[in-house]
Amino acid sequence: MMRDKRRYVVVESYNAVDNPDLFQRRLIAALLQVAGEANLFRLNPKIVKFVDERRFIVRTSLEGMRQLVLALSFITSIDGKEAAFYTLGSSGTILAIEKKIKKGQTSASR
Amino acid sequence: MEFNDIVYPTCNADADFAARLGFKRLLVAGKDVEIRDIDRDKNTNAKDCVVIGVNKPRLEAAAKSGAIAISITDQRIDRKLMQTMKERETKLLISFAVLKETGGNDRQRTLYMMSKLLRHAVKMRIEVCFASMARSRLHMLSTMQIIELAKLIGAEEDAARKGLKQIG
Repeated sequence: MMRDKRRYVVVESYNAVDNPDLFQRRLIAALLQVAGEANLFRLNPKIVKFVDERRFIVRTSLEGMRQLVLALSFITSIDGKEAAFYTLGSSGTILAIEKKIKKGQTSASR
Repeated sequence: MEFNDIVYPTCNADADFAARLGFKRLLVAGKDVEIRDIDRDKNTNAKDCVVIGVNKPRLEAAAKSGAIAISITDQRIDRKLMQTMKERETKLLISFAVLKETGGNDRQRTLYMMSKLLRHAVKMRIEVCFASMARSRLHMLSTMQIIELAKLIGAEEDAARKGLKQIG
């Protein structure tokens, strides 16, 4: 059986994330609002790791990556609070993206 | 990392943050690049300025006076203005911060108008550049996001990347 190709995207949040579980639920809800029900299943987004209090890694499907970047650009509030997300870079494996973060090479590198 | 962006001083963005977003340099309005709001400032002599506004005759006069780039705030096509821009080699600046300032139907309408404007500019062979023109850090975008937004409104990947290099 073919495995789904995935993409890992480093995202920086404007606000610090204090509760990761609650934040993930709110982020998915905000993505649902901007991407729509018909598209969200394609994105299949999941926060796989928090790098620090502002940066985290989101796993998505390869075909959904573009939609994810656009959806994150359109989010302006989460739970009534002002929010902004900046996509810093992406990679095909979590190891590669972690290496890039350590080297500080996450800037728009694909 | 050769991309540049134009932001307003109210963003308070440092070089580290700019590098994380993928920019070589953030050009600060009023400091690194002069931005002239043609609707407020009646002086149409805009040599070496980036001009923003809605008033088409004034925008056209600014293009004739030697403006570097023109950002049409209402995204409406004016054939006469576009013809002058082509003749004077004035770039068309598409700024994406407006997409973060609006939402819902307004955002969809803006995206539609932007795509029409871009299509018309490409057809007329006017150079197009992209920037966030953010007034707040909340409205800033990374290079990756600007490229995807440019592609969303109909730019080719290479043209989107080139459009981010044009400024500065």
